[in-house]
Amino acid sequence: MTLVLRQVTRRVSGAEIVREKVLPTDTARIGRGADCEIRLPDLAVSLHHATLATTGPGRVSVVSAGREPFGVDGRFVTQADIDVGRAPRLTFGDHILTLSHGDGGRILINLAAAEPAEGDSSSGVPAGGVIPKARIFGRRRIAWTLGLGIVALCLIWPLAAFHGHLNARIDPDQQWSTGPLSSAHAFLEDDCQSCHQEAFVAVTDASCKTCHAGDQTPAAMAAAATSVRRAGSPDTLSFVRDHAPRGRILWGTPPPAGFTGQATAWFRRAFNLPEQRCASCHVEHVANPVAGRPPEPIPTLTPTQTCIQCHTGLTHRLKDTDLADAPSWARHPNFRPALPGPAGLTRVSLDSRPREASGLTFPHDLHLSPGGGPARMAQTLGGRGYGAALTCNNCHRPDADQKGFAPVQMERDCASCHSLSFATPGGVRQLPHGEPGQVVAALMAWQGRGPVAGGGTTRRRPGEIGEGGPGVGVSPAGASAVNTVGGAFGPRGACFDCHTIFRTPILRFTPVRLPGDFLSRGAFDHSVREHRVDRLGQPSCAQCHAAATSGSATDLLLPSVSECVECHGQTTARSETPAPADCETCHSFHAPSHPTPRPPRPNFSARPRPAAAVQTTP
Amino acid sequence: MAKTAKTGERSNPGQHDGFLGYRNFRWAWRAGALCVIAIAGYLLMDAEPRPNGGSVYGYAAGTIAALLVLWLTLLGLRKRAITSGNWSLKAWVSAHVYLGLAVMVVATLHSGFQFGWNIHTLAYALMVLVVVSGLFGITVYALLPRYLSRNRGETTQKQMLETLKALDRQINEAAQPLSEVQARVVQMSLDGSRVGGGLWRRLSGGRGGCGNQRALSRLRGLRRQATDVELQMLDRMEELLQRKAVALAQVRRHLQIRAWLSVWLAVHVPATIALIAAITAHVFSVFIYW
Repeated sequence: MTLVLRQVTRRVSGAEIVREKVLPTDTARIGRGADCEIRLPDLAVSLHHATLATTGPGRVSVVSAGREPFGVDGRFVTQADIDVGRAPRLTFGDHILTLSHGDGGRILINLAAAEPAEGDSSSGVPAGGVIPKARIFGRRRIAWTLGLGIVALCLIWPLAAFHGHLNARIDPDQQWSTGPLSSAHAFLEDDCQSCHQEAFVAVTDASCKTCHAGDQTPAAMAAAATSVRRAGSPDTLSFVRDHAPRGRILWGTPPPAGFTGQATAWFRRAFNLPEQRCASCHVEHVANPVAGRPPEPIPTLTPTQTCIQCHTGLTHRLKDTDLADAPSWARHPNFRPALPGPAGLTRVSLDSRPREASGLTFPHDLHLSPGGGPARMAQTLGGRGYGAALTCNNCHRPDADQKGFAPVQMERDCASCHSLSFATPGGVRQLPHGEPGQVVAALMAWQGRGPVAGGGTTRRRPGEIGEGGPGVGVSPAGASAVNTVGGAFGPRGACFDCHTIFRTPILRFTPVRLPGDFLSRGAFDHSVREHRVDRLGQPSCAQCHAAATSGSATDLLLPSVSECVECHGQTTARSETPAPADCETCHSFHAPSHPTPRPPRPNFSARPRPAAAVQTTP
Repeated sequence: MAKTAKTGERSNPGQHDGFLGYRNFRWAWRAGALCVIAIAGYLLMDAEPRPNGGSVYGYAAGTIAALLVLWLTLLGLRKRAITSGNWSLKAWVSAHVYLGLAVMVVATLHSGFQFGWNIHTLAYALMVLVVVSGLFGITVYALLPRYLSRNRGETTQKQMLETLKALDRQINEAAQPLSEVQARVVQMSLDGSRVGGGLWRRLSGGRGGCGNQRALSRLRGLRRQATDVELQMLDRMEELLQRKAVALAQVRRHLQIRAWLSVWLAVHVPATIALIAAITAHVFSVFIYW
């Protein structure tokens, strides 16, 4: 049997070159060595790897020379007896020997190098150049992964939570928070929807008023306070009222001035960010305007307008307002006390020198005169808070918070001198005060038992019955009860001293109308030391209230605003007691009749105010 | 300024105008002016209660920054279409570089220096990442090409690889008479001399586990048991392996420098897409929770 070696090589163009060689013997050595008949230039093949020999017609045996195996149709063996008719494939390293029958009983040994896999080669350098980069983290793939991941995690997930499609424990929309809340609202940090209730709609006042409305019933307020405390609020819930209805505030606000103002207004309209909401001034998600400090206790206050900006020309913008313009402290309108008039309380400017119509007869000068009768009576009264000439505080008592005065009460503040006692056979009785009908009834019950009418206007100390005088004089014998009643209400009677009484023909009193608060739209704090006493520590009531020279109860003893200007808005050079002239001193935004709470909110004046807000008298 | 060139001539012959210094740093000046205006506006606008993205200035700066980011991203499209003139690719790249730096200033002022663990700061951080990676890119573009050409000498990458292949062929041939053990060692060089590969391997110059290096050191050990004839063959083999080591070092250095020249893009481009996604979420979230 003749062995024929057919060596197949491949051109670059792909064409095959076949070289045939008839082997001299029936036995052929296979290996890398130069002496081998079938030479395989492959370092994976031993120098003498195996020997191929014909063993019969169409049969060959292949035996390894050493221990290195070779492949026969995919199996690795060291010895094989092979039927050439089955066209076996022998592999040695990267070389393949394919056996087949040739013409004339020859055995053809086809030798070819194994086709390298795409991009692979025997060396570390692949056919295409260098080993390609790992493509798992290609730029495009990372970009898409990151981009879509961020959209999914930072936009779609929170949106789904906002629309209530998720009921997760974590709040994905918290990542949208632009900054921490003030400590009062910190308990709402993970509940964005408590304020942001509707998408693309700026936080509405309704959200704020859910808790803070000051015009709800006390029960509702208590319930709101309880619910926020339960939710974890560290603060006492504050209730506030609107400065004015929002529509009126919007109309009363001056149009934006300057390019920035107009641009801001345009922007706010274009982006549906209405002005004059709670959130316009009370800014959240700022924590603290000064970086690095702990959060403010309440939302940062950022007034969008100063008081003066709106209250200048307000009468032009709000034609029906009863407020006067206050363009500056120097041009603050004079006080307009609420005085009783035919149509109820009417505000009248002090400039028009209004008269008080309390319905009483009360000369302040007489009472305060150090040499007058009241003074002598007070000296006589001695140690019941009297003992010297009368002063203001003998009759006017501070109210509970010392800021104002309690209404004058006849029994408490006048009756020490203006006694309502009268003698009866059964002893000294007190006439009821305030209800004329009751007085009449009491007198009728004791008719004839003691006169009420007295002579003269000389006051007697109460209790000293029988010495004559009003209420205790000796009754003419047989005087009827009617006469007695008539005496009491008559021109020299006890009531007539202070009250104006008509007989038309029935007895009629001029109604007594003592305003609780003349100036209900601002706040004057009598407890401030400079408001109470002078430099020497003496009461300084007379500085503002010209009571000592007032001979009539119709004198309105209120000082005009020029009195305030003596100190407020003055410098130390011009006043011994200079005081600020901020609007907040007497008014607060949410409760204009009260001063802004002092000390002011910690962040109230975080930044210096524009000078326009603090104008002083030139 | 560019001279009007006659037909067939280059304008400004002999004067190379890189993208950084394009037209006397025209875009550097413009970007600088933008920064100056932005800073002046920041200082002049009295945002209450503190500078923030929600003030008039904040929205203006934010809008400018967002539009700039979108325009800067368009370079990816623009660079695939080469034109000339004022809006030549060079001018565009120059503007891209300087306006990209200006975006950092404008966006920082937009933030009002308010940062936190939220989507808004994520967008800011991504922008910083994009700008910083871009800065890194400019730096390597300015520094590395000279090393690239110094290392390359007169050859090209293709030639370097051809040299390697030729050496491999010679090594393969020279190894044919070697014994099994020796041949196996030589095979290490042929099989295990990796060039290129993953990112880290390219950036670090990828010599770790080099088959050629191992083959060289093993071959020295084999000399002790070798016959005189084998010693001659081994000498020849060692010379070949040494030559291969030099060639490998050159091609690896070449690939290393090229990797450094392009690695920043692997950050710059994905971070840009992430940035646009984050800006979208940032803008939407602000308006949803208005």
